[in-house]
Amino acid sequence: MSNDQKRVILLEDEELIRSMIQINFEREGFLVTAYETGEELLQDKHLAQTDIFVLDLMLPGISGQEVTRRLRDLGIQRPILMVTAKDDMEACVTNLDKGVDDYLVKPFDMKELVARVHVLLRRDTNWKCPVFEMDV
Amino acid sequence: MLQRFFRHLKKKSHHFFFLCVLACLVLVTGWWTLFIKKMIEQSYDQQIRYAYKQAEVLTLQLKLAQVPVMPGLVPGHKDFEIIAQVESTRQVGPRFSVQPTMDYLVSLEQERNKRTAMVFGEGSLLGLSVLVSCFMLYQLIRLEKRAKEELYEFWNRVTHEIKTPITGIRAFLETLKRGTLSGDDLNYMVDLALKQVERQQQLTQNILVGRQLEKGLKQQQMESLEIVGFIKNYIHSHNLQLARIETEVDPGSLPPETIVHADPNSVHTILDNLVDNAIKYGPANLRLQFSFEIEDQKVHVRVKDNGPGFPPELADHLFDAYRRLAGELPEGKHGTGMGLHICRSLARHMGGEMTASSEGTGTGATFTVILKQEVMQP
Repeated sequence: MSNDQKRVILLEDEELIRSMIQINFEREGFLVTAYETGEELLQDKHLAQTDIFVLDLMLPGISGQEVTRRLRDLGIQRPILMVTAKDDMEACVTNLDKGVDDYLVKPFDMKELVARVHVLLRRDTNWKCPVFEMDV
Repeated sequence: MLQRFFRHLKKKSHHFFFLCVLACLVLVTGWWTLFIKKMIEQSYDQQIRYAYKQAEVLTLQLKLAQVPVMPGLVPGHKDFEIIAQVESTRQVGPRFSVQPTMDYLVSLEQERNKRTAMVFGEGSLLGLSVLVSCFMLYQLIRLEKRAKEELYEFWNRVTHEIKTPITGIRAFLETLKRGTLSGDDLNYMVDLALKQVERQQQLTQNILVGRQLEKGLKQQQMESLEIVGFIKNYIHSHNLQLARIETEVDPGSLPPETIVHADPNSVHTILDNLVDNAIKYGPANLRLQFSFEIEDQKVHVRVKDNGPGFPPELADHLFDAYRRLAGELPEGKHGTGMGLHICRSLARHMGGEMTASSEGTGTGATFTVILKQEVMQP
């Protein structure tokens, strides 16, 4: 893995969608680790080294929303893009409130998904941790 | 925080509303009861005063009449009695007075007590009926709210079930167009895409049948079906879908060529749903056993799987419309929750029935479709 290669964790229970996203992401030069369930994802030893998470909302076992909460509880502040079939405003606002950075409704255009991932990564790279100086 | 509180209050507004209505009605009932009680007290006081006035009038009348009187009841007035007075030097004329009898006073008091008890009884009954009516209305609204929520959840699941295969197929076609797929990968992805198409087809069929059943528009073409052969044909023609499933058809004690009176399309839809559920919830080494039995001119078709099963007490709830047993069944499996409801409705439309049984979680499940046997005339 080169230093510039971005690591993406993908969580999607539908095999066809998961495979297609993985193929397209790999074509973009990302290093993709794909999981079918949230439980498997949370077992990953390299969560902290991941650059972006792409999660499905409705999943077997724990939901994408719960995975987001647990990732944030673990102190992982990397961008999370939620992919879901739910397109109502309330669900969207709830997810954004719970720590999701972006939201894409199914069925989506693969190019749009890739573009959004690039935007989130760019924004994340430009972000600098604020430093507070104080006199002791 | 405040916003969350108001959002919560809005969600639970019907509880608050009913509490207010109930409190108002109880207050009104209480006030009304006390008001009537006060009226009864006033009426009793008036009756007592009237009795003593009447006694005074009778005393005067008797004195004016200047007839000799003896202590005892006033002639013609059973509620009043003549009482002799102690002799007084100042008093002129006959020394007596008329008073209401003790029995009359007691009867007035008893009447007052009786009316008070009646008012309290009626008030309590009214209060109770208000409480019961409110509770029933509350339950009705709660059920309606729950039904609305279930319907909302149902359409959420339907949306998910429609959008997911479309997303997969679209992603597949886009990737295919970019020329990224080839060889074995391509074949494997085509198979996956075909499965998504089948899933979409099954869902569309269920929605259409569900709507027709709901509106009473479902037309069934009843035919004579040789049931064992029909099921064997079904398994054979669905080879692709059943490829990873071990199937066994055991006619048991069923006489050869047993005929049932049923609609082939409906039986087909029932089997589609049962097989789809078995695949969805079952293990990788899924086994389906079809067995048959005749009871009272009804053919019982049993489909037993080695899936996760379910707690026996949930057997009937599996067939509830628009409902999936969240938390009670294997989690996270997608689906609309209408499949089994449609199966039972179709079976009933054919004059049959459908039941489910399981000895508990982890023991597999048996679904029984009961169909009318067609008895051949000799």
